[in-house]
Amino acid sequence: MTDHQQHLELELEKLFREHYGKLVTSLISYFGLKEIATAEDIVQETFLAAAESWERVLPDKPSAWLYRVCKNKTINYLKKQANHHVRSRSIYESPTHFEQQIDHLLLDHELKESKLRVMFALCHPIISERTQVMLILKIIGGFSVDQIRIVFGLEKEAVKKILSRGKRKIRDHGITLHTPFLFQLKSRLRSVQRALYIIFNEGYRASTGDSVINKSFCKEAIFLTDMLIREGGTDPSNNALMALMLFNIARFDARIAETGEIIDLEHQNRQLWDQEVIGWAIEQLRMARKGRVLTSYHLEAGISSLHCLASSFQETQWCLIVAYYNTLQRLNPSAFVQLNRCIALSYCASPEAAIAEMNRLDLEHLLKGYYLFYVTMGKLLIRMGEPERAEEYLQQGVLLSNLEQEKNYIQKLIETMKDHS
Amino acid sequence: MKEFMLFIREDINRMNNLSEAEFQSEIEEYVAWVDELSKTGHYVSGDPLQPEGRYILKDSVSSDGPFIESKEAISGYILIKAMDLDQGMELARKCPVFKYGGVIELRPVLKMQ
Repeated sequence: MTDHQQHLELELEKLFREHYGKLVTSLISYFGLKEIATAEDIVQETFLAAAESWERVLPDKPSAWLYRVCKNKTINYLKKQANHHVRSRSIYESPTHFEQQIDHLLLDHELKESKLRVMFALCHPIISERTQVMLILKIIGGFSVDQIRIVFGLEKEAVKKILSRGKRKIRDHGITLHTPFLFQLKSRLRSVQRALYIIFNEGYRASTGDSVINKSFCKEAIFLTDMLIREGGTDPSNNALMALMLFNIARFDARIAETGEIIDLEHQNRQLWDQEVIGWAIEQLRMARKGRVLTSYHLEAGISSLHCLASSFQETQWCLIVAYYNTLQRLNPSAFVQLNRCIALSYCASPEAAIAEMNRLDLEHLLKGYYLFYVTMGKLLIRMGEPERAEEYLQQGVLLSNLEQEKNYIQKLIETMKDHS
Repeated sequence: MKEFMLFIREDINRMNNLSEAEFQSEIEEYVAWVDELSKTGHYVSGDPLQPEGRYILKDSVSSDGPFIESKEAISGYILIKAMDLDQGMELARKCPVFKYGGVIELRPVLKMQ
């Protein structure tokens, strides 16, 4: 691959991340929910056209190029439609009117509101909560089918089928974007929050891909949560979700060394944590406490706050974190929660206690093939002074991880362990 | 199809005193009604109105307006499309406001040709 190709690929990925959701949302705002697929197709074609035309050289303003081409493709589509339906002839009479409308829909504030509107409209009770979340990830988050597949542990074909069935149902049901009280509907809030939480996490998982791209996932989720807080009526769980995101993003840059290596919580330079953002997070958590309903976001934000406020890894209130995880496990049972609880338990009690608990819960079986189970076991065994057994687990972790940076991180653990023994 | 404006009139004080659960259940009913209207292609647009406002007379402005005290103040509007006044009435009758003692004023939109 030439330098230009590499540069182009990265640039396209960045642009896709930043503009796919915006373009699709503005087209959906124009067409209505009956033409989600059309909106997606037009934007997809726009990016394909970019990949082709930019093969030699990138335009001066790539995003302006995308918007222009997308608009033209939409006008062409409308003209084609107009040839079939006499009613939409107006596109010939006033193409500039259409352009103005699209330009207006692309204004920053309009877009944020449109995104929120599309999210709530997609969470219609005729489709399941899982489908609602998947559609938001695809349409607003710009997730690929592959990314969605991983989040939900499904086959690619299954995800495609669920998405297209969902879109069809929404189209056939004639659901409007402009329902009164839309943002106040608490029954739809859960899916919206869940999708934002997943979008944030997709960006936060330290190890994958370009960190600028990842951070843009996180920022997008934060902007939309902020919009939710301002437009969606008061629901303290929104503040909890926001607190959780802010506590984590405050530590975003400290997790990766300049060399690209992963730095785990224990070895992060706490001076690099953004104290201003932590301050905002505390404020949000304070507002979240006004709620009468305890959500998993409250608990996860609480756990993050204990990490952020600890002066060092050793002085973290590990036993309190275990208690939070216990409640979280009751509220939202999962083997991943259990694994994290066991890690906290190893510092609150002992590594031995943690391993006993992991065995009792049969986490190895429940987390079938998840590399972090093996890394955790390895790290616990190092602390227990059992390097041989530790290495077995860590090697297993290397095999199961499918990301270079994670593999390197584990390799380094093994080397450091050997240096010390 | 012609356009009709539905002015929803009800006791705004009652609206203000609803519990969160009551409010949620009422707006779910509104959303279901609008859903039905849009499924059949009758819905154009609509919004609830905030209870606070200004009542403006030629020489003075009353801050709250008498509509706060009125049992039939406008709390929202919905624009629909219908074949005629009869169908407009039929569609309006399904509005949840009637369950809560409100009324609807149905007015054909006058379009200049």
